[in-house]
Amino acid sequence: MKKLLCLLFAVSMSATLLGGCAGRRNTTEQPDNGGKEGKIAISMYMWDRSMFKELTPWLEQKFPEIEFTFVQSYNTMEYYKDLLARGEPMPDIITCRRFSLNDASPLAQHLMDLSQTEVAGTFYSSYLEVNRENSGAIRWLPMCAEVDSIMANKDLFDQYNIPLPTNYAEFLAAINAFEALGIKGFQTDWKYDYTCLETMQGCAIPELMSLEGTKWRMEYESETANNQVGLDDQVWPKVFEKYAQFLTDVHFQPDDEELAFHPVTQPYLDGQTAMIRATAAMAESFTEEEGITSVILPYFGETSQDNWVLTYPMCQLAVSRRVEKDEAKKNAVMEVLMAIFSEEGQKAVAAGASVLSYNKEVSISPSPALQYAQDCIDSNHLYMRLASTEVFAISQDVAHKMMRGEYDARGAYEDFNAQLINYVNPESEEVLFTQENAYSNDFGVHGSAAASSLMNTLRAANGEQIAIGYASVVSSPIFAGDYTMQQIQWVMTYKNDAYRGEYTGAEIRRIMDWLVNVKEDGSNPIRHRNQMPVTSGLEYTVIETERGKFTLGDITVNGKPLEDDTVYTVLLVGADTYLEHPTFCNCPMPEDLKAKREDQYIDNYTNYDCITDALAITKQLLEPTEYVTILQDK
Amino acid sequence: MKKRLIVLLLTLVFAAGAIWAGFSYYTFGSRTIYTESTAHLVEIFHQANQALHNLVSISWSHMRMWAPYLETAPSEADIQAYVNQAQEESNFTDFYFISRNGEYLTLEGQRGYLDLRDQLADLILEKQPVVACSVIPDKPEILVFAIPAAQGRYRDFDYEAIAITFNNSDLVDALKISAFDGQASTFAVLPDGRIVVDNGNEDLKDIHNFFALLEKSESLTGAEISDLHEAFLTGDSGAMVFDINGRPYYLVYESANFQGWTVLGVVPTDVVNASMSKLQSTTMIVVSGIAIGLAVMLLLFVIQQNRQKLRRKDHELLARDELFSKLSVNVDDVFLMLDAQSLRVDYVSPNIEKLLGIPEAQVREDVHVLERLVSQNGTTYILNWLPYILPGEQMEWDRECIHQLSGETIWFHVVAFCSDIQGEKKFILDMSDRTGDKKIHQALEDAVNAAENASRAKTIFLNNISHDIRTPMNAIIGFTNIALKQDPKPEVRSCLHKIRNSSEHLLTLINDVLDISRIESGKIKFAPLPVDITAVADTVLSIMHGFLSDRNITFRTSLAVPETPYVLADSIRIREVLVNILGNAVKFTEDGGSITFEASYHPGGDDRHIMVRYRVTDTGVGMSEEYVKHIFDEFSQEETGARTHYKGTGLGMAITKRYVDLMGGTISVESKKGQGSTFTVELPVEGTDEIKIQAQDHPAAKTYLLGVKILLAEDNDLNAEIAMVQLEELGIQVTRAADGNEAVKIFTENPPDTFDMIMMDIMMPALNGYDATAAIRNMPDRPDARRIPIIAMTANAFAEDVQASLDAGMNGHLSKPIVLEEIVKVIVRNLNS
Repeated sequence: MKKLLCLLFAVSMSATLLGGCAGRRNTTEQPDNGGKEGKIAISMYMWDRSMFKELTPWLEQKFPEIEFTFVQSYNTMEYYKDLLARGEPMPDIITCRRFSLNDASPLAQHLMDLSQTEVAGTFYSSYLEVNRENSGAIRWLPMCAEVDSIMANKDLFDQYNIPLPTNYAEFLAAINAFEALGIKGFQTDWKYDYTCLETMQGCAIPELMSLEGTKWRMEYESETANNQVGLDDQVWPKVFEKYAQFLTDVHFQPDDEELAFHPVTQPYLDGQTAMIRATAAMAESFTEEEGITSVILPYFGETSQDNWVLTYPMCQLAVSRRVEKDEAKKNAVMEVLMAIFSEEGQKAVAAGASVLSYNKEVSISPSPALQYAQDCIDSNHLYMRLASTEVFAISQDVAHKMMRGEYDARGAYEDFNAQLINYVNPESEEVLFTQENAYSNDFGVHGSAAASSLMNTLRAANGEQIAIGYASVVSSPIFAGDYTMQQIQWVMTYKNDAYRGEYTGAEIRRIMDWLVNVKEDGSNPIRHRNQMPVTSGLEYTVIETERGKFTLGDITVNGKPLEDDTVYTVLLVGADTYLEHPTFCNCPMPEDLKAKREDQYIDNYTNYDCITDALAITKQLLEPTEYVTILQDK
Repeated sequence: MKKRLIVLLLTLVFAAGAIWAGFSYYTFGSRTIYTESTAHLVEIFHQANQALHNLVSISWSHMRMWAPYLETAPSEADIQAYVNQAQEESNFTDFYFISRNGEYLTLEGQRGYLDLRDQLADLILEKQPVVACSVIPDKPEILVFAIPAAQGRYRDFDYEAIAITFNNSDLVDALKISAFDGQASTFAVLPDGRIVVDNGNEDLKDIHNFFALLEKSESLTGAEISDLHEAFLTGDSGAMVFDINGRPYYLVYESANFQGWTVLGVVPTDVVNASMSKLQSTTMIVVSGIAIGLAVMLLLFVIQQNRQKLRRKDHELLARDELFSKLSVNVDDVFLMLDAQSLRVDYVSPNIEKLLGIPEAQVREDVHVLERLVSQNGTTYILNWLPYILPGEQMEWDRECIHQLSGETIWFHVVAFCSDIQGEKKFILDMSDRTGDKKIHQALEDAVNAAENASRAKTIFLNNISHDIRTPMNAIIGFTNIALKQDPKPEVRSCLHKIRNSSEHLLTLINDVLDISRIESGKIKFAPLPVDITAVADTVLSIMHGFLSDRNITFRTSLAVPETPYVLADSIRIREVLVNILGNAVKFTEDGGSITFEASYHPGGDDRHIMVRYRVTDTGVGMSEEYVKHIFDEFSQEETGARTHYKGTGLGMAITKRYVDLMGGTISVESKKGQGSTFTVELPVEGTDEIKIQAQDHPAAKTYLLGVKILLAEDNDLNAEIAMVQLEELGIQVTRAADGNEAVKIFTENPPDTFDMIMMDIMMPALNGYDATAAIRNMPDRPDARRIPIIAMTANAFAEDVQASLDAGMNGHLSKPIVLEEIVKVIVRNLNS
């Protein structure tokens, strides 16, 4: 019977791929529960690529009897709502960092109630109660808490003998002291919605954690579609007043609202900025990798007893209700959850970064980066940010208007309140194009049809001879139907870079070797089958020598042998950081190949731009091709 | 067999009753144990729950007492002393002052945030006491009991409530159960099963949700778990049994009456039931012991009964064995019993050496030695047939053997049976000595053969006599008739007439002698055929008119009309009987006398039969009473000189009587000397359908034979000449063949349809008439060979000869001497058919 299931599975896989190459269908299919070789198949959608850093290899190693499919998805509930709206089944395990019960409520009927599970029992009740629905169900389990607050270059403070601040007044004094030295006291990437949200809430945590503040928050988190809750008129005016004051106190300059990550971090690393907003993980990373001793400071109150650090779960995790139908699969998923929420699992999730656990019996020692926030931790001054989708969007909009001087504190409060009561997703309606053919993102012996379609589209739009995606670049199946801008952006995985270059055939072979073969020191660029390179205009063969390890075979260009001396124009799409970073794949691109790579296609060119521009030309996600053939080593 | 069945049934009923009783007792015992145990557990865990409840109550009481004191306490030191003393009494973990915003301050001045979520508003705004679970980093989960207090200040900390906390582990003590040797576990759980107070023993360590634990239980269904969840939500109490890893546990649950907690008590059932189970098992053992004792006594009784039965049976067997031994020694039968698988001799009767001349021991050693006794080579071995006999079946053989000691030939009738003896297949051979019977039978067989040979010789003799006399008679009569047609002189004519009359008399004499001889030897059979019985009388009367043509005798007839004239009868024999009687009447009645012929028909023995009665009365010479007694004897003639006057063989009436007897009828005669005689014949005949009669009619149509071509096969020249003269007188063209071969040759060499008929003698040299007929009939390329009429013309005159001719493929039979009228009739009939 298992053989028959496997055969049927293989046939359906082949049919899906072939159908995906040439056919037309309205929906795509998820793999069924029967995994390869009779294994239980579990699909897990990751809110961010960072989850691939340690968690996914650890899970695959810990559960060899489970066939995992890890897909890089998006950090918003809207992504999963869209999946369901397209007729796709809910993946077995989903994760999302941006979370509120309000946002998650439309998914509730598709998610399993975990309140009676063993894994839920491992949580401290008070943390879990936050996620309890009115019905008593608990569908989302918070992953360990990330601390996100003010990061200070301690070396700089020490260098100039400026004491690390312990309250708001000292914080301002430090800013002023640095600025007297020509060093920016505090700066941050104001461009992003999360920065706007966190700084806005961070500067007024005592107010938000007051009796009135917590009371309002509980009301807000319990709101229903028919009972929209606006801002509290006692607490929130003070929040905006303090935020306006904060912007002033940190010497916010015009156009700073456009500052992105790199323009902020680089001066910090260069000693030109003393403090920025960052996570404890980043502080540790800068300390260890950049040699800049960085520490986390709290959001300051009037006295040190009013200081708070801002936290949020690294992500929230939920399980599809479909899992309940298969007892064996349910048990397997529960075991996976128990592993993830164990001490070892949470360390894998944190990938060595400082986090705080919500679970009993889990002890993660705080890193030195948190030593100046320890008082806050000990006194339980841990503020969990309010992180609903609308609050993110409105915070960005209102904060930017405050930064541009369009609003004073009162105006900001009123606009925020108005938007909160009548929130409309600005990107949810407009249809940009209609996709005719659907392509599955199931990964088979010839790769992923959806990934191939995307890469063929990018190559065609850019007019290159060959396109190489470092790994599977799609975050979801490609549907047949209307696409809004938001949906287009969700097609391609988040955080990719795009380059072009002219390479000889021999160099292209080396690029593929870099992307496929296990390196001499054991580093493996392909940690999971979904991370197999996706090519367009180029076909290649790999041999799986052992589970998860591959050797590059033949390469052809449009079916003809790759000519070593011929020069081809190549589009390269992917995440350098993920491949090259020692804590990820540890597979740096050979320098000579990197040198031939032209500068990033366009400055600050994002994957959003990349896919949007391509579709503006092709108007369709093009037909996939069989770009890879995976052979098993005998 | 029936008795055994009854015993078996009684045993089964007893066993079933015992099992049912045991099961019922076990069920009752288990139910009682469950009821008693759970009641006991409920009581114990209720006390534990009560202890927790007391702890909570005391905590509330203390805090309510502290609040007024704290408001009026003269100094911080007094407050600290007061609270520390209370902590010693109440055993709580920490004491907190709580601000309006949820901040806390300990007595020692540590500050922090106590997350009471929505209960903070209840506490501060609603002024309600609250209990909440909370957590402070790096500390165990705590249970907070907080009450509102008048606004106060401690160490510059403005507070509006006070609280004490218990680490959840502290509450474990309240729930601890000393009974059951530490194998009892107690938990406090939330309605969704999450464990908030964990006092689990070794077996139930490291569990976090009680429902997740129950899901592993094989004895609980999902519905039962849902019901339990519902009970937790509604605060119900109860008890049940579940199992973990195959070990059953009692679960007792009771609402803690605060925070939605439910207190659970879990104890392995074997621990709780230990004493009661021991009582139950002891009771079971005692009862089982008694039952087994009774069963043993019953068994001994049955064994005793069986022994007596066996003794009786042994006695019977010994008696039977003695009887059989005596029988087997003294009878002329050898008995053997063989094992069907190996043909091992299980038994051989001791008389085998006497009857077969082989020692018993030799047969026991190898049963195949029996096959060597057989005197005839090629006789199938009996032992080879044995495997084909199925249980309950038998096979029989007759075997001629040689007595191994005397060398005499002996005969045995062997019967082999196959029996299934308690599942073991056995062959039983009964070799019965039939030598005496065989010898008697052989003698009888010899006698029969001799008689049959004599009879055959007589028949052959008669046939030969008949044939050999008829052949010259044919010539004599034939040539006499030819001579008479040559217009001889009167003296010669007279001589010729005398020759012919003498010849005819001689022929009649021969025929009668042969007939009586054949009747006696059973050659003549009664052959009834469908006939019109009135036509028989008509035929006889037409013959009689010939007899009477030159006589002056008054002939009267009285012919009744039967209701159904169609009957099954041998018309030839009837005709012969009547012609014989009427011929005698004519012969023995003087001219001027009279003869009366009556035919009447009477009801028979049943609806199908009628009785035909013929009566012939004459006014002839009559017979004496003494002669009438012998009238039907062979060669009987009254010594009255009539013999010389009335020529006869003395066989006519004997033949008539035999024919009547043959037909199942009766003949009687009344006669008075000088007055005449009356013969009455009664014949039973069976009615039949008219259609069967009609099918036999072949009326002659062609009477003119001019130009008819006949091939005559006749080896005897004289007979051939007579036949040719007579046939040619009729205008027939005759071609003669001297024997069968020549006849076939002439027929072959002539074109088809050259001849209209073949007349075939039977006894011919080279190729007889039968074979010649077969050769002609079988000619493949001559379509006329099958249809040409072939008539036997032979001195073989008997009925079986006629049948033999027909069987050989001929169409008719003429016996010699040839009577011209008969020839004409046969030719005409066959040419027209």
